[in-house]
Amino acid sequence: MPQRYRNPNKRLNELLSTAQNKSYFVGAVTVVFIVVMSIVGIIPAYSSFTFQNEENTKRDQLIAKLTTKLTTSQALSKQYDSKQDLVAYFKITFPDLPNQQSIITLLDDITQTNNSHLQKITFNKNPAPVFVQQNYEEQIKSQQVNITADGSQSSLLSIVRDIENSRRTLNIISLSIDRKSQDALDQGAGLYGDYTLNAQMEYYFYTKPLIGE
Amino acid sequence: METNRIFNLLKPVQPPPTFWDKTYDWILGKARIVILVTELLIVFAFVAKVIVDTQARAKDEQITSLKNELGFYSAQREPLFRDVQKRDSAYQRLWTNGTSYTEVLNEIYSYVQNPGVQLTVNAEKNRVSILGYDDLSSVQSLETQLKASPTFTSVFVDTLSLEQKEILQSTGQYVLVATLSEYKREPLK
Repeated sequence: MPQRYRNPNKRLNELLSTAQNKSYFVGAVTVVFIVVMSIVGIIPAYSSFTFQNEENTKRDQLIAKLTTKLTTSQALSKQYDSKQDLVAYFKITFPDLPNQQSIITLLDDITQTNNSHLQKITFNKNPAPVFVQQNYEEQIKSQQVNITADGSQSSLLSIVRDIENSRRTLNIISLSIDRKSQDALDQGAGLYGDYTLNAQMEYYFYTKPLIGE
Repeated sequence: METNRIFNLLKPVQPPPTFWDKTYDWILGKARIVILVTELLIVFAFVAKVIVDTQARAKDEQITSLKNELGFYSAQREPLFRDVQKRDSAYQRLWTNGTSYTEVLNEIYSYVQNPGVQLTVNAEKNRVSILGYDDLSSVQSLETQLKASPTFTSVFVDTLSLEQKEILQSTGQYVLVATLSEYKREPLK
């Protein structure tokens, strides 16, 4: 080993014996310190800090979205609860099942309210061709109902109006309003009115999807 | 034996600093500041890291809490809302596709001059047919009024039959056919 490496203290003292060397030495140590600190401390900490900061910005955006969704859900939930009566009414007007009894009651009410006589009511489980052509979603189902009612001209027109305005949707597929023949009227057929209404209608219900669908 | 002790009470006189002495002093002073600044930067970076990490943890907890709360709504409430929404949309479609004949029938009957005669009004889709027995002037009047109305796009007498004695009385059986310009319901408000 060369002599100069044997005594590092002496070598160092020699190195730092002049102001010029000391300047170089302190400058070099400072630069090395900055470089080492940058590599092992500042840069990793800074990159980690900026990465985490970016992640936090993403988290903030997610929180904002979730909060908006939650606020909307809470508002909807509150609205839903406050309008339970309306929801229940809606489920009656657009039920899960055909509920033919409600159709009978409804049509009977309409004819009675309009001083007419519901002579006949017939149900047909099959949907009308016009309904099939509409390509509604699978949950919407339809059945047909035909009625024959007697009454005056104005009362039968009122029945048609009430049927069309009924919230339990009844769609008139076809109708005819006949004035009874004079012979029939002479034989007492005009007890409830001079006219007869025949209406073919469809009514709807909404089947719930199966669980897991 | 006396020994003379010499005390130098004069202030030591330093040789004037050279260029390198001054450079050394300057570097030593600046280097301290640079090292201090570097250390401060490190401390700042680590403190900032701790702060953002703490914030991240808090935000993660907030996200978890929000997700849990939303999970309740998704599982328990959302199916109800969606059911109502779908039902409502379906209902509106059914309503809008439904037919409306009230106004048409009212209009037709308002044109009929002699309601005591045989009269049958049929309606299906956009087609209305009126089968009646009346004098020809009334039939003509009915046809004219229907043609003048914007409710109907086309009106024509499909059938007109008169028997011999009816010719003399200008009375006969007719079938008037009209096409409706609109027969769907108004949308729900």
